Amino acid sequence: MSQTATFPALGSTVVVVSAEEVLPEASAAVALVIEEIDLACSRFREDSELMALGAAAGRATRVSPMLLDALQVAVRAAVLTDGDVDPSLGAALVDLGYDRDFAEGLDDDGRVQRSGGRAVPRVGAVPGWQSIRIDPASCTVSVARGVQLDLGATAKALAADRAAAAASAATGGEGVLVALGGDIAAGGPAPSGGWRVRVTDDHRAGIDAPGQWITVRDGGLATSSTTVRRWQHRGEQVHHLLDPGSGRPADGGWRTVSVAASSCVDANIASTAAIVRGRRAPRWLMSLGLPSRLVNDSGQVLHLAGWPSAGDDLESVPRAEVPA
Amino acid sequence: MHSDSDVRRNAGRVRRDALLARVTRTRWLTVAGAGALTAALAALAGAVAPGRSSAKSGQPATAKTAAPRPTLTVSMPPAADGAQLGLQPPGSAPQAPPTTPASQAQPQSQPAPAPAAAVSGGS
Repeated sequence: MSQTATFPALGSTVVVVSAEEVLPEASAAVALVIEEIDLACSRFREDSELMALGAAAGRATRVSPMLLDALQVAVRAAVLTDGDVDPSLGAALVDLGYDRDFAEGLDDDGRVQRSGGRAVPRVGAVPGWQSIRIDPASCTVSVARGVQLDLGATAKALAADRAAAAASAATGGEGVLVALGGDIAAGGPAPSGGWRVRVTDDHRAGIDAPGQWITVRDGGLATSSTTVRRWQHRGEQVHHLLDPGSGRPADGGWRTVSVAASSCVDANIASTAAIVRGRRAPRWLMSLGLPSRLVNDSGQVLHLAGWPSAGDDLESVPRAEVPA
Repeated sequence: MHSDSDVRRNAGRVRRDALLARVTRTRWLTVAGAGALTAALAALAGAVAPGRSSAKSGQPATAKTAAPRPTLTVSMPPAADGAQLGLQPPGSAPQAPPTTPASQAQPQSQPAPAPAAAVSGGS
């Protein structure tokens, strides 16, 4: 019988699912990996490696294998999405007021309480992933002066993948499912019926929220949504999924995209890019054969590339309205 | 007093010396021209067929043919595996659960054991 353990991390919630007798070992392994990722990749911790890399102002800096991997994953995401998922948008997020851990400023309405921001928000394309130079041989990285990195799009997914693998290893190869703020990774063998997952707009809403039950057996599952991490900035509602081409919150017509892939990292890259790509997303996801569920701004849902249609609470997008 | 015969002898000696000097100058010019021509031809051959110069001095004659031709060493990144080449679909696609979960079938007022499940949503 599977059981769950829940604890806060990375400004979100971690859920570990495994057999009851190995749950403590699995949870401990997950916590270790997440702490390691946080220390390497957080842009909200003064003691993180990422902050030190930014302070190096363009000088080549020796980094840990963890940060090296996270940066390589981020650059790979940018390359595979033609820059639609770009780690160099840290400054754009700060300009929009997202300059601290989101959990620090939440009020009852779920909005970050802003005390101010830059006088003139920067608008325009982000510097681009090409501003990052990685030398795996020497484990050194340089980031162009003034460029602020945000690895949030991929580092959390990488943490889920690594945590699931580590937890399975720590339990002697048992099956473990790790959900890190809605990014899900499976490690080890799945239960006979698969891992049960509720897919919704907001991972905090729980299993009773409108959405769909599915089961997964391997790989990863990620959901990106413009309905969460929203806040007011200068009288405007903004969210955290930025279009690197404009430096502004993406507005492509999809409010939530869920993707299943061979890993949580790949799933996250695809779901994030789909939000940015808007109408071009369905064809792109189908060409990659990635099972996907897309919810448009009107709340209608589209199932693609083998994603099951049964049991979805939301109305399907009429066939005639599916983007070609 | 010099006699006519002495004058003629001296004139002949002067002509002979001048002829010998001209021969010596011509020989030096020939040697220098040949050297310059050899250098020019060597430079031309080096430009047309690089890497085919003669072996270094002191190298055994057999090394010319036995030694492999030097090759340019290029540092290549390690071969990428499948997952690095592109976004990969899962081994098995998500499935719809065979039955409605108990938590959904039960009325809200009746407590039911929550089945182990995770939520995927925006975060």
